[in-house]
Amino acid sequence: MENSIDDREIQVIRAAVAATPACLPIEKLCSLLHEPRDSDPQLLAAAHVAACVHCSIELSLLREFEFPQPQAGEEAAVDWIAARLSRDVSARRSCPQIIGRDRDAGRRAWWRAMFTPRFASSTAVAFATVLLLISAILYVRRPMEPRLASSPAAAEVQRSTSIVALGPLGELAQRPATIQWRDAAGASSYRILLMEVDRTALWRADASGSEIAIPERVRSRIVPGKTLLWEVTARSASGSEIGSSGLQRFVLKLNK
Amino acid sequence: MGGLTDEELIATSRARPKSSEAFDALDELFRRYFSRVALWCFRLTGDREIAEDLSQEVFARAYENLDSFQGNSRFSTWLYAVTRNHCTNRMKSRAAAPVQFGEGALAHLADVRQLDPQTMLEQAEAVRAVINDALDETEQKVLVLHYGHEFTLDTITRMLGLTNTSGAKAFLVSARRKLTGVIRQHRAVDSRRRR
Repeated sequence: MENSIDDREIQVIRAAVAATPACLPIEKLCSLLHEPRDSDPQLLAAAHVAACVHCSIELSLLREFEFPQPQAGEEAAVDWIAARLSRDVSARRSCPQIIGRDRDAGRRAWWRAMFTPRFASSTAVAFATVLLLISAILYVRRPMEPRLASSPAAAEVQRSTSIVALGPLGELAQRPATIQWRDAAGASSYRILLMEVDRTALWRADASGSEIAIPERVRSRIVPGKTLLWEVTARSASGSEIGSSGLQRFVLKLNK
Repeated sequence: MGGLTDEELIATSRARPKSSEAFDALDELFRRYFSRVALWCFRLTGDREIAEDLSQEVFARAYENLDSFQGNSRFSTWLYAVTRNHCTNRMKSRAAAPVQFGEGALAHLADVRQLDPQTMLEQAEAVRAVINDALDETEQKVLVLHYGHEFTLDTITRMLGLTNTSGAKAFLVSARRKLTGVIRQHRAVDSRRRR
Protein backbone atom coordinates (compact mmCIF):
# COMPACT_ATOMS: atom_id res chain seq x y z
CA MET A 1 0.00 0.00 0.00
CA GLU A 2 2.78 2.31 0.97
CA ASN A 3 4.42 2.04 -2.43
CA SER A 4 1.27 2.22 -4.47
CA ILE A 5 0.21 5.51 -5.88
CA ASP A 6 -2.99 6.39 -7.62
CA ASP A 7 -3.76 8.67 -10.53
CA ARG A 8 -4.96 11.50 -8.37
CA GLU A 9 -1.76 11.46 -6.38
CA ILE A 10 0.21 11.57 -9.62
CA GLN A 11 -1.92 14.53 -10.73
CA VAL A 12 -1.03 16.34 -7.54
CA ILE A 13 2.68 15.62 -7.92
CA ARG A 14 2.63 16.74 -11.55
CA ALA A 15 0.92 19.96 -10.51
CA ALA A 16 3.45 20.49 -7.73
CA VAL A 17 6.47 20.20 -10.03
CA ALA A 18 4.95 22.09 -12.97
CA ALA A 19 5.92 25.67 -13.78
CA THR A 20 3.89 28.35 -12.04
CA PRO A 21 3.18 31.84 -13.42
CA ALA A 22 6.03 33.10 -11.25
CA CYS A 23 8.55 30.75 -12.85
CA LEU A 24 11.33 32.23 -14.92
CA PRO A 25 11.52 32.09 -18.71
CA ILE A 26 14.60 30.55 -20.26
CA GLU A 27 16.09 33.97 -21.05
CA LYS A 28 16.07 34.86 -17.36
CA LEU A 29 17.68 31.55 -16.45
CA CYS A 30 20.30 32.19 -19.10
CA SER A 31 20.98 35.58 -17.61
CA LEU A 32 21.32 34.06 -14.12
CA LEU A 33 23.85 31.64 -15.49
CA HIS A 34 26.00 34.13 -17.36
CA GLU A 35 25.51 37.55 -15.80
CA PRO A 36 26.53 38.77 -12.34
CA ARG A 37 23.80 38.65 -9.73
CA ASP A 38 24.27 42.19 -8.58
CA SER A 39 21.12 43.93 -9.75
CA ASP A 40 17.65 43.81 -8.17
CA PRO A 41 16.07 41.81 -11.01
CA GLN A 42 18.91 39.30 -10.88
CA LEU A 43 18.66 39.00 -7.10
CA LEU A 44 14.89 38.52 -7.32
CA ALA A 45 15.33 35.88 -9.99
CA ALA A 46 17.96 34.10 -7.91
CA ALA A 47 15.67 34.14 -4.88
CA HIS A 48 12.88 32.60 -6.91
CA VAL A 49 15.16 29.83 -8.17
CA ALA A 50 16.31 29.08 -4.66
CA ALA A 51 12.72 28.53 -3.56
CA CYS A 52 11.36 26.88 -6.69
CA VAL A 53 12.19 23.27 -7.43
CA HIS A 54 10.97 23.61 -11.01
CA CYS A 55 13.24 26.53 -11.84
CA SER A 56 16.22 25.16 -9.94
CA ILE A 57 16.08 21.97 -12.01
CA GLU A 58 15.60 23.98 -15.20
CA LEU A 59 18.66 26.00 -14.31
CA SER A 60 20.72 22.92 -13.57
CA LEU A 61 19.72 21.35 -16.92
CA LEU A 62 20.68 24.54 -18.72
CA ARG A 63 23.97 24.63 -16.80
CA GLU A 64 24.74 21.08 -17.86
CA PHE A 65 24.22 22.06 -21.48
CA GLU A 66 26.19 25.28 -21.28
CA PHE A 67 29.05 23.83 -19.26
CA PRO A 68 29.05 20.16 -20.21
CA GLN A 69 31.04 17.69 -18.15
CA PRO A 70 30.91 14.33 -19.87
CA GLN A 71 31.42 11.36 -17.60
CA ALA A 72 34.04 8.74 -18.34
CA GLY A 73 31.72 6.48 -20.33
CA GLU A 74 30.23 9.35 -22.30
CA GLU A 75 33.33 10.97 -23.74
CA ALA A 76 33.99 8.35 -26.39
CA ALA A 77 30.39 8.37 -27.61
CA VAL A 78 30.26 12.16 -27.73
CA ASP A 79 33.56 12.33 -29.62
CA TRP A 80 32.27 9.72 -32.06
CA ILE A 81 29.01 11.60 -32.71
CA ALA A 82 30.78 14.95 -33.02
CA ALA A 83 33.28 13.43 -35.45
CA ARG A 84 30.46 12.04 -37.57
CA LEU A 85 28.69 15.38 -37.61
CA SER A 86 31.92 17.09 -38.50
CA ARG A 87 32.74 14.56 -41.21
CA ASP A 88 29.36 15.13 -42.84
CA VAL A 89 29.97 18.84 -42.99
CA SER A 90 33.46 18.29 -44.44
CA ALA A 91 32.14 15.84 -47.02
CA ARG A 92 29.63 18.37 -48.14
CA ARG A 93 32.31 21.05 -48.42
CA SER A 94 34.75 19.00 -50.46
CA CYS A 95 32.26 17.13 -52.57
CA PRO A 96 28.89 18.82 -52.80
CA GLN A 97 27.65 16.43 -55.48
CA ILE A 98 27.72 13.66 -52.87
CA ILE A 99 24.29 14.77 -51.76
CA GLY A 100 21.73 12.37 -53.13
CA ARG A 101 24.37 9.95 -54.42
CA ASP A 102 25.68 8.44 -51.27
CA ARG A 103 22.98 6.77 -49.22
CA ASP A 104 24.56 7.56 -45.89
CA ALA A 105 25.41 11.10 -46.79
CA GLY A 106 21.99 11.60 -48.36
CA ARG A 107 20.37 10.68 -45.08
CA ARG A 108 22.58 13.25 -43.45
CA ALA A 109 21.87 16.06 -45.80
CA TRP A 110 20.93 18.41 -43.02
CA TRP A 111 21.14 22.16 -43.20
CA ARG A 112 23.47 22.13 -46.20
CA ALA A 113 21.02 20.03 -48.12
CA MET A 114 18.45 22.72 -47.68
CA PHE A 115 20.59 24.94 -49.86
CA THR A 116 20.79 22.51 -52.77
CA PRO A 117 19.52 24.02 -56.02
CA ARG A 118 15.87 23.54 -56.62
CA PHE A 119 16.21 23.67 -60.43
CA ALA A 120 15.51 19.97 -60.74
CA SER A 121 12.60 19.90 -58.35
CA SER A 122 9.85 19.49 -60.94
CA THR A 123 11.77 16.67 -62.59
CA ALA A 124 12.30 15.12 -59.19
CA VAL A 125 8.60 15.30 -58.38
CA ALA A 126 7.72 13.65 -61.71
CA PHE A 127 10.33 10.97 -61.12
CA ALA A 128 9.09 10.38 -57.59
CA THR A 129 5.52 10.05 -58.86
CA VAL A 130 6.58 7.40 -61.37
CA LEU A 131 8.50 5.57 -58.66
CA LEU A 132 5.50 5.76 -56.36
CA LEU A 133 3.25 4.30 -59.04
CA ILE A 134 5.68 1.47 -59.72
CA SER A 135 5.97 0.79 -55.99
CA ALA A 136 2.18 0.73 -55.64
CA ILE A 137 1.85 -1.73 -58.52
CA LEU A 138 4.57 -3.95 -57.13
CA TYR A 139 2.97 -3.82 -53.72
CA VAL A 140 -0.45 -4.84 -55.04
CA ARG A 141 1.09 -7.61 -57.10
CA ARG A 142 3.46 -8.81 -54.41
CA PRO A 143 3.58 -12.56 -53.78
CA MET A 144 2.35 -13.90 -50.48
CA GLU A 145 4.97 -14.00 -47.77
CA PRO A 146 6.67 -17.43 -47.80
CA ARG A 147 6.21 -19.71 -44.82
CA LEU A 148 8.95 -19.50 -42.30
CA ALA A 149 11.36 -22.39 -42.49
CA SER A 150 10.65 -24.97 -39.81
CA SER A 151 14.23 -26.15 -39.34
CA PRO A 152 16.29 -23.06 -39.81
CA ALA A 153 19.40 -24.22 -38.09
CA ALA A 154 20.33 -26.38 -41.04
CA ALA A 155 19.58 -23.77 -43.63
CA GLU A 156 21.93 -21.07 -44.85
CA VAL A 157 20.36 -18.09 -46.43
CA GLN A 158 22.40 -16.20 -48.97
CA ARG A 159 20.96 -12.79 -49.63
CA SER A 160 21.94 -10.53 -52.43
CA THR A 161 24.49 -8.95 -50.11
CA SER A 162 27.67 -10.51 -48.98
CA ILE A 163 27.01 -11.93 -45.52
CA VAL A 164 25.52 -15.37 -45.10
CA ALA A 165 23.06 -15.43 -42.23
CA LEU A 166 23.15 -18.67 -40.25
CA GLY A 167 20.61 -18.11 -37.56
CA PRO A 168 18.27 -17.61 -35.87
CA LEU A 169 15.91 -17.96 -38.83
CA GLY A 170 12.33 -19.03 -39.26
CA GLU A 171 10.21 -20.66 -36.59
CA LEU A 172 12.09 -21.63 -33.48
CA ALA A 173 11.18 -23.97 -30.68
CA GLN A 174 13.46 -22.23 -28.19
CA ARG A 175 14.72 -18.75 -27.59
CA PRO A 176 17.95 -18.30 -29.54
CA ALA A 177 21.05 -17.76 -27.46
CA THR A 178 23.24 -16.40 -30.23
CA ILE A 179 23.16 -14.76 -33.63
CA GLN A 180 25.45 -16.36 -36.17
CA TRP A 181 26.63 -15.54 -39.64
CA ARG A 182 29.46 -16.47 -41.92
CA ASP A 183 32.58 -14.33 -42.00
CA ALA A 184 32.69 -11.86 -44.87
CA ALA A 185 35.92 -11.28 -46.74
CA GLY A 186 37.62 -8.07 -45.71
CA ALA A 187 35.42 -7.51 -42.67
CA SER A 188 37.13 -6.48 -39.48
CA SER A 189 34.01 -5.99 -37.40
CA TYR A 190 30.29 -6.53 -37.54
CA ARG A 191 27.35 -4.50 -36.34
CA ILE A 192 24.35 -6.53 -35.24
CA LEU A 193 20.90 -4.99 -34.99
CA LEU A 194 17.89 -6.79 -33.56
CA MET A 195 14.57 -5.15 -34.32
CA GLU A 196 10.87 -5.49 -33.98
CA VAL A 197 8.95 -5.78 -37.25
CA ASP A 198 8.31 -2.05 -37.30
CA ARG A 199 12.11 -1.65 -37.24
CA THR A 200 12.23 -0.39 -33.69
CA ALA A 201 15.69 -1.34 -32.47
CA LEU A 202 15.72 -3.78 -29.56
CA TRP A 203 19.44 -4.27 -29.34
CA ARG A 204 22.59 -3.16 -31.09
CA ALA A 205 25.99 -4.70 -30.65
CA ASP A 206 29.37 -4.95 -32.28
CA ALA A 207 31.32 -8.13 -32.77
CA SER A 208 34.64 -9.07 -34.22
CA GLY A 209 33.82 -12.72 -34.93
CA SER A 210 30.94 -14.44 -36.65
CA GLU A 211 28.77 -15.06 -33.62
CA ILE A 212 27.41 -13.02 -30.77
CA ALA A 213 25.56 -14.04 -27.64
CA ILE A 214 22.21 -12.41 -27.11
CA PRO A 215 22.13 -10.89 -23.60
CA GLU A 216 19.59 -12.29 -21.19
CA ARG A 217 17.71 -9.02 -20.93
CA VAL A 218 17.24 -9.05 -24.71
CA ARG A 219 16.35 -12.75 -24.83
CA SER A 220 13.58 -12.12 -22.34
CA ARG A 221 11.99 -9.87 -24.95
CA ILE A 222 11.80 -12.69 -27.46
CA VAL A 223 8.30 -13.96 -26.83
CA PRO A 224 6.30 -16.69 -28.60
CA GLY A 225 4.45 -15.58 -31.70
CA LYS A 226 6.28 -12.27 -32.05
CA THR A 227 8.37 -12.01 -35.18
CA LEU A 228 11.69 -10.25 -34.81
CA LEU A 229 14.14 -9.06 -37.42
CA TRP A 230 17.90 -8.91 -37.35
CA GLU A 231 20.62 -7.71 -39.63
CA VAL A 232 24.39 -7.94 -39.59
CA THR A 233 26.50 -5.39 -41.41
CA ALA A 234 30.19 -5.89 -41.98
CA ARG A 235 32.68 -3.07 -41.63
CA SER A 236 36.15 -2.77 -42.95
CA ALA A 237 39.12 -1.74 -40.85
CA SER A 238 38.46 1.85 -41.89
CA GLY A 239 34.92 1.62 -40.53
CA SER A 240 33.09 1.71 -43.83
CA GLU A 241 30.21 -0.64 -44.47
CA ILE A 242 31.18 -3.41 -46.87
CA GLY A 243 28.33 -5.85 -46.71
CA SER A 244 25.09 -6.81 -45.09
CA SER A 245 23.08 -9.90 -44.36
CA GLY A 246 19.90 -8.13 -45.31
CA LEU A 247 16.94 -8.40 -42.97
CA GLN A 248 16.46 -11.81 -41.41
CA ARG A 249 13.43 -12.88 -39.44
CA PHE A 250 12.58 -15.40 -36.82
CA VAL A 251 9.74 -16.16 -34.49
CA LEU A 252 9.45 -18.26 -31.38
CA LYS A 253 6.75 -20.92 -31.84
CA LEU A 254 3.59 -20.49 -29.84
CA ASN A 255 3.17 -23.12 -27.16
CA LYS A 256 0.08 -25.15 -27.93
CA MET B 1 35.38 32.87 -38.79
CA GLY B 2 36.82 31.25 -35.68
CA GLY B 3 37.29 34.59 -33.94
CA LEU B 4 33.68 35.70 -34.31
CA THR B 5 31.10 35.34 -31.55
CA ASP B 6 28.03 33.19 -32.11
CA GLU B 7 25.90 36.25 -32.60
CA GLU B 8 28.37 37.69 -35.14
CA LEU B 9 28.28 34.44 -37.08
CA ILE B 10 24.49 34.60 -37.20
CA ALA B 11 24.67 38.19 -38.36
CA THR B 12 27.09 37.13 -41.09
CA SER B 13 24.80 34.36 -42.26
CA ARG B 14 21.84 36.73 -42.30
CA ALA B 15 23.71 39.47 -44.13
CA ARG B 16 24.30 37.35 -47.23
CA PRO B 17 21.84 34.46 -47.06
CA LYS B 18 22.71 31.32 -49.01
CA SER B 19 26.13 32.67 -49.91
CA SER B 20 29.33 30.75 -49.38
CA GLU B 21 30.11 33.09 -46.50
CA ALA B 22 26.76 32.25 -44.90
CA PHE B 23 27.49 28.54 -45.23
CA ASP B 24 30.87 29.02 -43.61
CA ALA B 25 29.38 31.02 -40.77
CA LEU B 26 26.71 28.41 -40.07
CA ASP B 27 29.21 25.58 -40.31
CA GLU B 28 31.42 27.30 -37.78
CA LEU B 29 28.47 28.13 -35.52
CA PHE B 30 27.06 24.63 -35.48
CA ARG B 31 30.47 22.97 -35.15
CA ARG B 32 30.92 24.78 -31.85
CA TYR B 33 27.93 22.93 -30.46
CA PHE B 34 28.40 19.44 -31.87
CA SER B 35 29.70 18.07 -28.58
CA ARG B 36 27.12 19.74 -26.39
CA VAL B 37 24.18 18.59 -28.47
CA ALA B 38 25.73 15.14 -28.88
CA LEU B 39 26.13 14.76 -25.11
CA TRP B 40 22.57 15.83 -24.44
CA CYS B 41 21.21 13.42 -27.07
CA PHE B 42 23.43 10.60 -25.85
CA ARG B 43 22.32 11.02 -22.26
CA LEU B 44 18.72 10.98 -23.34
CA THR B 45 18.95 7.92 -25.54
CA GLY B 46 21.92 5.94 -24.24
CA ASP B 47 22.62 4.88 -27.82
CA ARG B 48 25.21 6.66 -29.91
CA GLU B 49 23.63 5.90 -33.30
CA ILE B 50 20.23 7.13 -32.22
CA ALA B 51 21.92 10.08 -30.53
CA GLU B 52 23.74 10.88 -33.77
CA ASP B 53 20.49 10.86 -35.73
CA LEU B 54 18.87 12.97 -33.07
CA SER B 55 21.76 15.44 -33.12
CA GLN B 56 21.45 15.80 -36.87
CA GLU B 57 17.75 16.47 -36.54
CA VAL B 58 18.43 19.06 -33.87
CA PHE B 59 20.81 20.99 -36.12
CA ALA B 60 18.45 20.72 -39.07
CA ARG B 61 15.66 22.07 -36.89
CA ALA B 62 17.92 24.81 -35.56
CA TYR B 63 18.72 25.82 -39.11
CA GLU B 64 15.07 25.80 -40.12
CA ASN B 65 14.12 27.98 -37.18
CA LEU B 66 17.17 30.20 -37.03
CA ASP B 67 15.03 33.18 -37.98
CA SER B 68 13.20 32.82 -34.67
CA PHE B 69 16.42 33.54 -32.79
CA GLN B 70 15.99 37.17 -31.83
CA GLY B 71 19.02 37.58 -29.62
CA ASN B 72 16.99 37.76 -26.39
CA SER B 73 19.29 35.17 -24.93
CA ARG B 74 22.60 33.67 -25.92
CA PHE B 75 22.58 31.49 -29.00
CA SER B 76 23.66 28.57 -26.83
CA THR B 77 20.55 28.98 -24.68
CA TRP B 78 18.34 29.16 -27.74
CA LEU B 79 19.98 26.01 -29.12
CA TYR B 80 19.50 24.32 -25.76
CA ALA B 81 15.76 25.03 -25.96
CA VAL B 82 15.65 23.64 -29.52
CA THR B 83 17.62 20.56 -28.46
CA ARG B 84 15.53 19.89 -25.42
CA ASN B 85 12.18 20.36 -27.13
CA HIS B 86 13.13 18.26 -30.11
CA CYS B 87 14.63 15.45 -28.05
CA THR B 88 11.71 15.40 -25.65
CA ASN B 89 9.20 15.20 -28.48
CA ARG B 90 11.13 12.48 -30.25
CA MET B 91 11.57 10.45 -27.09
CA LYS B 92 7.88 10.75 -26.34
CA SER B 93 6.99 9.56 -29.80
CA ARG B 94 9.43 6.65 -29.54
CA ALA B 95 8.33 5.42 -26.19
CA ALA B 96 5.13 5.15 -24.29
CA ALA B 97 4.47 7.11 -21.11
CA PRO B 98 7.15 6.99 -18.42
CA VAL B 99 7.44 3.77 -16.52
CA GLN B 100 4.97 3.83 -13.70
CA PHE B 101 6.02 0.90 -11.61
CA GLY B 102 3.76 -0.06 -8.79
CA GLU B 103 0.91 1.86 -10.32
CA GLY B 104 -1.34 -1.07 -11.04
CA ALA B 105 -3.75 -1.21 -13.92
CA LEU B 106 -6.62 -1.45 -11.48
CA ALA B 107 -5.64 1.79 -9.84
CA HIS B 108 -5.57 3.44 -13.25
CA LEU B 109 -9.00 2.10 -14.14
CA ALA B 110 -10.60 2.78 -10.82
CA ASP B 111 -9.22 6.21 -10.10
CA VAL B 112 -9.39 8.39 -13.16
CA ARG B 113 -11.53 11.09 -11.57
CA GLN B 114 -10.12 14.56 -11.75
CA LEU B 115 -9.58 16.53 -8.59
CA ASP B 116 -11.43 19.80 -8.36
CA PRO B 117 -9.10 22.74 -9.09
CA GLN B 118 -9.16 24.16 -5.56
CA THR B 119 -8.28 20.83 -3.93
CA MET B 120 -5.59 20.27 -6.52
CA LEU B 121 -4.11 23.70 -5.83
CA GLU B 122 -4.06 23.17 -2.07
CA GLN B 123 -2.56 19.71 -2.29
CA ALA B 124 0.00 20.76 -4.89
CA GLU B 125 1.05 23.63 -2.64
CA ALA B 126 1.51 21.28 0.31
CA VAL B 127 3.42 18.81 -1.82
CA ARG B 128 5.62 21.58 -3.17
CA ALA B 129 6.57 22.51 0.38
CA VAL B 130 7.48 18.91 1.16
CA ILE B 131 9.50 18.66 -2.03
CA ASN B 132 11.49 21.70 -0.97
CA ASP B 133 11.90 20.75 2.67
CA ALA B 134 12.01 16.97 2.88
CA LEU B 135 13.42 15.74 -0.41
CA ASP B 136 17.12 15.73 -1.05
CA GLU B 137 18.52 17.24 -4.22
CA THR B 138 18.62 13.99 -6.18
CA GLU B 139 15.07 13.06 -5.16
CA GLN B 140 13.90 16.48 -6.29
CA LYS B 141 15.63 16.16 -9.63
CA VAL B 142 14.32 12.66 -10.28
CA LEU B 143 10.79 13.71 -9.37
CA VAL B 144 10.79 16.79 -11.59
CA LEU B 145 12.45 15.04 -14.52
CA HIS B 146 10.06 12.09 -14.31
CA TYR B 147 6.77 13.81 -13.61
CA GLY B 148 7.53 17.26 -14.99
CA HIS B 149 9.54 16.36 -18.08
CA GLU B 150 8.25 12.81 -18.51
CA PHE B 151 11.73 11.37 -18.91
CA THR B 152 12.00 7.64 -18.38
CA LEU B 153 13.84 6.38 -15.34
CA ASP B 154 16.63 4.98 -17.52
CA THR B 155 17.12 8.38 -19.10
CA ILE B 156 17.15 10.10 -15.73
CA THR B 157 19.66 7.59 -14.40
CA ARG B 158 21.99 8.47 -17.28
CA MET B 159 21.36 12.20 -17.10
CA LEU B 160 22.17 12.36 -13.42
CA GLY B 161 25.00 9.85 -13.66
CA LEU B 162 23.43 7.72 -10.91
CA THR B 163 25.52 4.67 -10.14
CA ASN B 164 23.41 2.91 -7.52
CA THR B 165 21.94 -0.46 -8.52
CA SER B 166 18.40 0.62 -9.29
CA GLY B 167 19.31 4.10 -10.50
CA ALA B 168 16.59 6.75 -10.52
CA LYS B 169 13.93 4.28 -9.42
CA ALA B 170 15.26 4.17 -5.87
CA PHE B 171 15.09 7.95 -5.56
CA LEU B 172 11.61 8.09 -7.04
CA VAL B 173 10.31 5.46 -4.62
CA SER B 174 11.81 7.33 -1.72
CA ALA B 175 10.43 10.68 -2.89
CA ARG B 176 6.97 9.30 -3.47
CA ARG B 177 6.92 7.63 -0.07
CA LYS B 178 7.46 11.03 1.50
CA LEU B 179 4.91 12.75 -0.72
CA THR B 180 2.05 10.27 -0.63
CA GLY B 181 1.89 10.56 3.14
CA VAL B 182 1.26 14.28 2.84
CA ILE B 183 -1.24 13.89 0.03
CA ARG B 184 -3.20 11.29 1.97
CA GLN B 185 -3.27 13.44 5.08
CA HIS B 186 -4.72 16.26 2.99
CA ARG B 187 -7.18 13.92 1.38
CA ALA B 188 -8.39 12.72 4.78
CA VAL B 189 -8.82 16.30 6.00
CA ASP B 190 -10.62 17.17 2.79
CA SER B 191 -13.05 14.28 3.06
CA ARG B 192 -13.79 15.12 6.73
CA ARG B 193 -14.45 18.70 5.68
CA ARG B 194 -16.87 17.55 3.00
CA ARG B 195 -18.81 15.48 5.54
